[in-house]
Amino acid sequence: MESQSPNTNTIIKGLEPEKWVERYSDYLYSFAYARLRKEEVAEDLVQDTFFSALRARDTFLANASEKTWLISILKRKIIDHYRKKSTQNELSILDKPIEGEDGSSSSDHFFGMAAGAGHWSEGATPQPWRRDFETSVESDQFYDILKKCITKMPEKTAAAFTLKNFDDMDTEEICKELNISASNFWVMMHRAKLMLRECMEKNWFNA
Amino acid sequence: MGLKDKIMMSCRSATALVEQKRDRKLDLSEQFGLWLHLSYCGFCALFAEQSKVIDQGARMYAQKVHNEQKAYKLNPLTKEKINKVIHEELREEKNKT
Repeated sequence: MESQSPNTNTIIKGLEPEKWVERYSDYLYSFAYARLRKEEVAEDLVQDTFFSALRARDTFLANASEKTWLISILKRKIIDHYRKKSTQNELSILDKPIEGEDGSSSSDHFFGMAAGAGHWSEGATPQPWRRDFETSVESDQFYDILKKCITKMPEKTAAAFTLKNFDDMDTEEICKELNISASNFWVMMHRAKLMLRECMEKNWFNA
Repeated sequence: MGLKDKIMMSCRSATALVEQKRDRKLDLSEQFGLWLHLSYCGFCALFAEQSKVIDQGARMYAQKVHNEQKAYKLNPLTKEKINKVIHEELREEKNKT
């Protein structure tokens, strides 16, 4: 099957590293950039992916697709990147008051304490939206603002949100990858939605 | 959380359940409590409705991101650099054998 190539001796079980850059670098870069939105980080991760792949060629299963294999390595790099980010920024989410196990113990930007324990704080209540969804999704600006609102979240929350909503990873897997408990995950998703809803309301729907 | 708290829930708990409902089946007292809460709390009912819109928007954005997967090009200089390293390593390997 692999005898036509002039580089037969460098082919290990169907891999052709000398053609990787030409064949897959734009694809891998776009995959990373679409998720991280930072050129330098995406470039670094693609570079790391190729070098790791080169050294791990014996783990490649014959008959697998080269492209799928490279993407799986890149995904791992992206998760490692999120994980590194999240340990650096862990405090930024943990030092904010988050709800206790009973869901009503502390106050924060969204919900009050005392008489109105766990009820919407003044100024944080959802308002009816002036712009409708159908015309919103036709606009590039809508997605720009959505993207900005996601990046404004604490890093770990944004990572969990992205893995859940963009990469369709299931909750259990995300918890394992980001090293958080399921209840912590739900607290993060809850906050993510509260932040995202408010951010979109202020900057798009009622802007 | 006691049964009374589950049924007479706060807005914080109600909005948390709205989010969790996407991923797991709520138990009966949670379902009832949420339904009851949303029937008298206009803010949370609005939150639930808008939350769905946000989810839909995020899904469409995710789709856009997936479609963008071939839309960007890696910097040619970086490509050249990576290619050079790969070829050097391959050459070294060949020399060893």
